[in-house]
Amino acid sequence: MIVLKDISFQYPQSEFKLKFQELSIQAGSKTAIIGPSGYGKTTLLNLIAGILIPDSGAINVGENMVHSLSDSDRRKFRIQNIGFIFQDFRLIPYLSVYDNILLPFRINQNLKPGKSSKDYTMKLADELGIGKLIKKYPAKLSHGERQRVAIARALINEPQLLLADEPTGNLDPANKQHIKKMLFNAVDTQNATLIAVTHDHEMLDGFDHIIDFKTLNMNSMRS
Amino acid sequence: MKQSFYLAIRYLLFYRFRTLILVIAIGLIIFLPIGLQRLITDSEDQMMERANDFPLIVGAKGSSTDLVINAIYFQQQPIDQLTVHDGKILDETELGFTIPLLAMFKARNFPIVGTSLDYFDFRDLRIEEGRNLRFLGECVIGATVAEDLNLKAGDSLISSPENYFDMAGVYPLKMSVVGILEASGTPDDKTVFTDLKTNWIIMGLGHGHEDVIKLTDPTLVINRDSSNVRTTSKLFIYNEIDGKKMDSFHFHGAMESYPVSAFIFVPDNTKSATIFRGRFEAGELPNQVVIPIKVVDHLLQSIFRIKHIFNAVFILVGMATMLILILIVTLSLRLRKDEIHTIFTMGCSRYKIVEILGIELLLLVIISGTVAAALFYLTGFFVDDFIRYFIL
Repeated sequence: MIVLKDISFQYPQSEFKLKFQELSIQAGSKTAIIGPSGYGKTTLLNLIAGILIPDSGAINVGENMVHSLSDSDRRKFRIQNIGFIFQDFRLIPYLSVYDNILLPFRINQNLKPGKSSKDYTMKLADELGIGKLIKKYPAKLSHGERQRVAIARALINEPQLLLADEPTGNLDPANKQHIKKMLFNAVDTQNATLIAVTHDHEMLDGFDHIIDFKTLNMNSMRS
Repeated sequence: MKQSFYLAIRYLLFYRFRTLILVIAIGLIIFLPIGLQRLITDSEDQMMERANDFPLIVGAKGSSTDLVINAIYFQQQPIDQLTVHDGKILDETELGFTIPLLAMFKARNFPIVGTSLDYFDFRDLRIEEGRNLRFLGECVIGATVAEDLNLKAGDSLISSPENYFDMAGVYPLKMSVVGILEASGTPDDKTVFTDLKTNWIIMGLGHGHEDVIKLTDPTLVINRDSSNVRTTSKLFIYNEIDGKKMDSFHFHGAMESYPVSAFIFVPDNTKSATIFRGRFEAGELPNQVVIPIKVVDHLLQSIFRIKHIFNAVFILVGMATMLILILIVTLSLRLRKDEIHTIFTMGCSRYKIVEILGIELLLLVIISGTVAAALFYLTGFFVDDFIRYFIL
């Protein structure tokens, strides 16, 4: 269960303010967050991930009280519990597909890349249809292929929570549905919770919950 | 740490062209000051060591530096000549013995030095292959000459003509290579040694040709009397001295007046050396005597003053390069802002990010240092060339 209570957050030297009373997301569910640009959808993901700290309020992800964790504990929490999928993929250009997928293991001392993680990398790549591209570099891949690599990277540490920021934003309609299907399959297989930010209403089909920043009991605003 | 190394190496390999340029730039900046310092120090040592082996040099009045450069490094600086007679005057002092040197010609870019057999004893030069000089037209070559020209005992070597367009000038002489010296790590390795007479033949002071007394071809003889035969230029002059032609070689004029570039004077002892020099200072002996080590020391002091300018330039260039490197690293970090933000978002610690970037920089410096060390090692092979082209 993910619970955010009495949240208030404002970026320094910015007029933007995110404020709401309560938001609960069921573990193992697929939740879509929709709303116009600039209303704080990505900020909400960053708060849940512990990248940003609220000015006030509490954020609980399972048993983790994210808002009260130290810097290093929040990093550890992220690397062990969360998988990220970014709109612009954010693949590392000088790493092959294989190394990009395995990246969480290479940047965290608590996760050592062993045989099981390397085997799992190949399994994920095969499942996502990029098994033959494993030695290629991101610059040689299509948009759809890059997004699949990004999904594999997000799933490699078998996270409880998958945070996706516009995961199909840069894709053509056919690829969008395909990627969504893969994402749902992967989430179901790992029994993970998916929170996806999107402004594409055609993509909402299949999500368990939809949170609309405009109409739900949220109080995000531009003052 | 292992994973940070892995990521750093992947980065450097992926941007290999950028890495190569940085390695070359940093490598050169590390190498240039220490490489030049080594060239200068080694050159100084090598030149001083050589000069120290020669007690006194006697030559015609003029530049003492040119005299020493000609006499002990065999660089053919134009100097006034002495004669064989001058050597006799020196020997008559009975304060030591003289070794003549005549360095005027080249064979395939290596100096030909005419001298006596005493030179080989004096320099403790040993024959590694073949034998020492015995007959006219023979030469003994240094180890480097043999290696570079791929010569062995029994081969021949032709002296270089001084001027291709001067038909009346010095004719090339085909010399027999009879011996190859052991390498000594000195200019002797790069020298072709002959006896003085062979050198004089190259100069044209001696020559060999058909017996003019027996000439019957009227187109070869201009006139003839009881003591003299004048021939036309059609008369064939030998350019090689072998057993059959040996007897036909002869010299014209008084041999005492034949040229010598300089004499090495080996005094019997320190007292003899002092007396010998005193006689020159008193004007009792003609020409000039120099102590090579003093001349070389003076020469090096003058030349190496420029070393301080080089050092200052390298410090400034080094500082400028370091500033540029800092700029490059800063710009590179800015370009990699998204990448750094991504791995930070994924849970990478700031320490780990600094570790990865630090290892990248460290690897660059280590590779550059290795390149600089390799260049530094190679510098040792160019000390002779440095001396030849920049000092002498």
